Amino acid sequence: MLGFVCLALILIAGDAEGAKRFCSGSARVLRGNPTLIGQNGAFSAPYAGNVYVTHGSAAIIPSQWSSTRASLRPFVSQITGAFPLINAGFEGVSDIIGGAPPAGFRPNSNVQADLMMLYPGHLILELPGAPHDYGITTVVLRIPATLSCPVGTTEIAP
Amino acid sequence: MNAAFICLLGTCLALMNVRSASAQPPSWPSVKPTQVVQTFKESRADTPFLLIINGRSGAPAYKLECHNGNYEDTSEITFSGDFQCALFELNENGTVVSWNLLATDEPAQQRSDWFNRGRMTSSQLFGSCGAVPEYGMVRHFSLRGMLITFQFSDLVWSKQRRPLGRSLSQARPQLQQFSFAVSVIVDGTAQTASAKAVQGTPASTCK
Repeated sequence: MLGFVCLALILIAGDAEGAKRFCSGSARVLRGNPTLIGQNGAFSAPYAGNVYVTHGSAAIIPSQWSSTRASLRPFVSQITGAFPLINAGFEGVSDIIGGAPPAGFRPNSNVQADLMMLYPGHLILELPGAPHDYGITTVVLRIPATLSCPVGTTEIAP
Repeated sequence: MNAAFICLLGTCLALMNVRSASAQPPSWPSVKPTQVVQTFKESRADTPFLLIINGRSGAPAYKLECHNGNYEDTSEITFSGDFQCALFELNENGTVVSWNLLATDEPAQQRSDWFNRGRMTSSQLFGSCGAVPEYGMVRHFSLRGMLITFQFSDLVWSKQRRPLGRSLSQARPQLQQFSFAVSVIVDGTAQTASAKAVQGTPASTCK
């Protein structure tokens, strides 16, 4: 297990600019909506520019990152993650998890709150390019040092 | 014999009545027609718009709420793009009791807060994209005994070019100002619970 995490760290370390923070923990990784690839994601706003949903990116819940959408926006392309136990990962965040509430929840409930209730303590990610639902798995994140490790993860040494 | 026949006929008629009743389309509350126009200046701030659509009795029936991607409240949905509207059903207390009714019942639209025609991005209004039926300047939403029409007009574009994604070569002007008109009329043919799907899709350059 430790070996997998070390390997994931090496793979995502790269040489991108800026101070980075590494976080590891548990994530609930949902298969996203491939129809959205190529469209403007939920980070798009006037004067902020367009953030396009890409095949290899992820959708997140901003509140799990102790942050607002506006404060996350400058960093979304610099967030990468690896799922070492299933040999998968993502490059960049391009969207925010949304949609109608899951089955069994009130029709006016918020899907982000519903998912956090279903999977408490886990980082929730949605991958539009994922071939299937990845379930709950280990995640290793590489994020700008400006950001704190999100829900479900803790900082680890690079 | 006659009694048996009458009994059988009666049973059949009763069954037909039940089947007929179950096949009836839902009866939506009739709304009061309304029309509003508002002009917005785009900035790094929100572009809030709120229209309460009342029923014939005068009680609030629906809430049409619009913001842009600078609005941070995500209690109902995450609004994004240059201007996004969402329609919610209200109960007698004015509480929201539905998800966004401008999304069709297609799975792709049900799995995203923004993948529906209620969201406008400036690229959908720029140049020839604005003329694309139902995805450009004029959009109709048919549902629940209503026809809701959005119309964007009086567009003001900046001379400064805004990058389209990361490609500067595809840059286009920034939308600085627009007027948004919404009208709601009664349409007895609109019987779907959420917005009826429309024909066609916008060109890839108009997303």
